[in-house]
Amino acid sequence: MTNDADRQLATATVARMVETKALWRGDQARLPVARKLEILDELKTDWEVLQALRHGREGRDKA
Amino acid sequence: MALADSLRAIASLKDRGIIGRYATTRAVAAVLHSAAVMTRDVDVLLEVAAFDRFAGSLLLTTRLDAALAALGYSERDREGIIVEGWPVRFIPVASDLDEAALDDSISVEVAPGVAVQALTPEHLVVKALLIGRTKDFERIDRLLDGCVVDPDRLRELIVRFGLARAWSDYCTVSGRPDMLAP
Repeated sequence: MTNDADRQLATATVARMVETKALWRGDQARLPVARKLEILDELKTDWEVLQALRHGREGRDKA
Repeated sequence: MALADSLRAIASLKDRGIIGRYATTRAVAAVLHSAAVMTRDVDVLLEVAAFDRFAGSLLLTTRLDAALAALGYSERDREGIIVEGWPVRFIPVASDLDEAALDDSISVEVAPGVAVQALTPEHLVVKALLIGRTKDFERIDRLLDGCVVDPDRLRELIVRFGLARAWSDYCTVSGRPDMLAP
């Protein structure tokens, strides 16, 4: 993937995480437990995408 | 692979007799009661009997690892053993407070027909007070904001475990009025 593509994916991922966290703050305590667990899954997946991008870029930078 | 599946698998360890008393703690337990912060692992408080002893005092997870491997969970990362995609860290009871937390833990339904044991909100607050990092204080904020903490139970724990000073520090740092003040 190019640096531009990486950047776009990272931006989209962070935007989604911010959106997810905003949802969290809105009515968080009243969300069903199952939905809260799904949100944690989503946040973890997004975080892993960001980590993969970071490591990929470090690898390219070293090369 | 989802967090609900991971919690289901942990509950099944108890059902299969692989572990005895247990309770989810820290971030995931806080999520079950109220709001949450992102977390990448599942912490499970376990009675010491679930661990193997080495040289008298060192606790190992040998039996637990073998039982988990037999269920197909043998991959590890630096956070813990991977159960349904989530690293799970098993933490032995290390204090009277931990013991009380396990005694008082409650069952929370995470999916139809699936319940896990979790620390109560009040125990999560006192654990966070003891550790006292910024993210622990933030966890207290979220539990208090979620209105899931019983002030009387929290006061009893703070008095019982000598945490009045830590509570006072938290109120100062957070800028919150002391909800436990007479």
